[in-house]
Amino acid sequence: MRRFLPCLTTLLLLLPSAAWLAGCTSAQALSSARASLGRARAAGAEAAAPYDYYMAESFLADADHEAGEGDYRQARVFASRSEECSLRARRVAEGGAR
Amino acid sequence: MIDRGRLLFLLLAFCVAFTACGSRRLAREETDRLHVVEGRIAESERLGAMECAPRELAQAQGALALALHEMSERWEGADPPLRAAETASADLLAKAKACGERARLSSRATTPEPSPGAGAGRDAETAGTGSPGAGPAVSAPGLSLSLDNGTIERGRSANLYWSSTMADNVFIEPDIGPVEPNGNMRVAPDRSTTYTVTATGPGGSTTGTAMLKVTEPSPRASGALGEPRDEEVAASGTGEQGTGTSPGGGREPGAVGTGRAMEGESGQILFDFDRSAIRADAKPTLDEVAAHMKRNPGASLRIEGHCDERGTRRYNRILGQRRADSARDALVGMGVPRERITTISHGEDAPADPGHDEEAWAKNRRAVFRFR
Repeated sequence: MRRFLPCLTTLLLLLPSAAWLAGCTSAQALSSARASLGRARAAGAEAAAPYDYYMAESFLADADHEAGEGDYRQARVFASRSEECSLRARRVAEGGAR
Repeated sequence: MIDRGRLLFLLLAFCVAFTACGSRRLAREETDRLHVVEGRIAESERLGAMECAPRELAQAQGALALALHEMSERWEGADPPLRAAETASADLLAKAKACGERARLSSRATTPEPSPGAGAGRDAETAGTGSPGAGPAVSAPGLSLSLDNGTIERGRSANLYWSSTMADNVFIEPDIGPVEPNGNMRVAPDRSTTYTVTATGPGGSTTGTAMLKVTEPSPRASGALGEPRDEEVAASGTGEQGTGTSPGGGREPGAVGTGRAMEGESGQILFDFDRSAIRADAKPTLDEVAAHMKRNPGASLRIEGHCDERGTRRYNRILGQRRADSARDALVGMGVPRERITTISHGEDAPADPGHDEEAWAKNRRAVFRFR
């Protein structure tokens, strides 16, 4: 038992750290998606590319939901989809091709 | 006389079997609900929701994405997001219908004499305009009838969707009879059938038809364009074959989606067990799909990934997604813009062949292409 004690302690320390890291990266992805959406809104995407803009909003809400449930991996997936939609909407709003 | 230990064991086994059956039933029910949501979204897109209700469309699609994810994670947690998706899609469909109705009314106002006999060929919506004498105060019922697949093999089925506004009675022939004003139903006729729906209301009556062509089953393993199997189309609403006939006659300028070539036609490619790599025999189908996408710059494509029944549901969801993504990547490599392709995984929930042998499994490991 004594032989496994250091391993067990390391594991116990590592697990919360990993969870904390996962939470951090998903929070980063979420805030990046939120910023992208803000930029799209500022560019007038809500009127110029409403579908993409609202799609970004929906995915961001999904990402928030997943982060709230502790599924950080899926939260990052939704956040990245949201960011893609925001970028597309912003491109259209700024006069770029769809 | 059974001893107490054996009795307890039997009781426990019964409880486990009962719970397993309950969970499976729940899974199927939820898959059906998911298909209804997808059908509503597809119907709304056909009615022009992208332009007239983009917010609702995005909300419904976002809710659907979340529900799909939750369903792939754990069935018991899928109910709230699924319910949200149902509500969002119902709102969306209501708004899309209202838009369609408005477009119809305004087109009628700007088109005093529609040319008679030009009703056939509206690919997006089936609707009539009511009795010719009906004034603007009492509108004739609005009507939409569509099939998610215009051609099926004998023994397969298709989804028939209908919706009406301002109608007291709605009747579908043949073999169906009176129905709710809005709904859908799975139909599996033995021979080619033209479904006729008649909506009657204070403003008159409207008739719409949709033809379902039934072909002989073919032993084809890898599908060519144009003949999707019923399970493949269950989740999608594209490709209806409705032809509108209205007492006033005429193709209405406000109709959505006219002129979209090959809409709803689909093909499929097959995969090896537990693999998502594109096989060599998939190339002709991929070439054909890529060529179609290049010929039709306005078309978009949905790729649905499927798996056989082996493996856990969650793993199969992921594997199905990988298959759909592989097919998408192959098409992108052939020059089809990535943003025109969406992917979705149905995992093991929509088998093309319900059998439980290698032959059936081989047919179920597939990616289905659906043009929109």
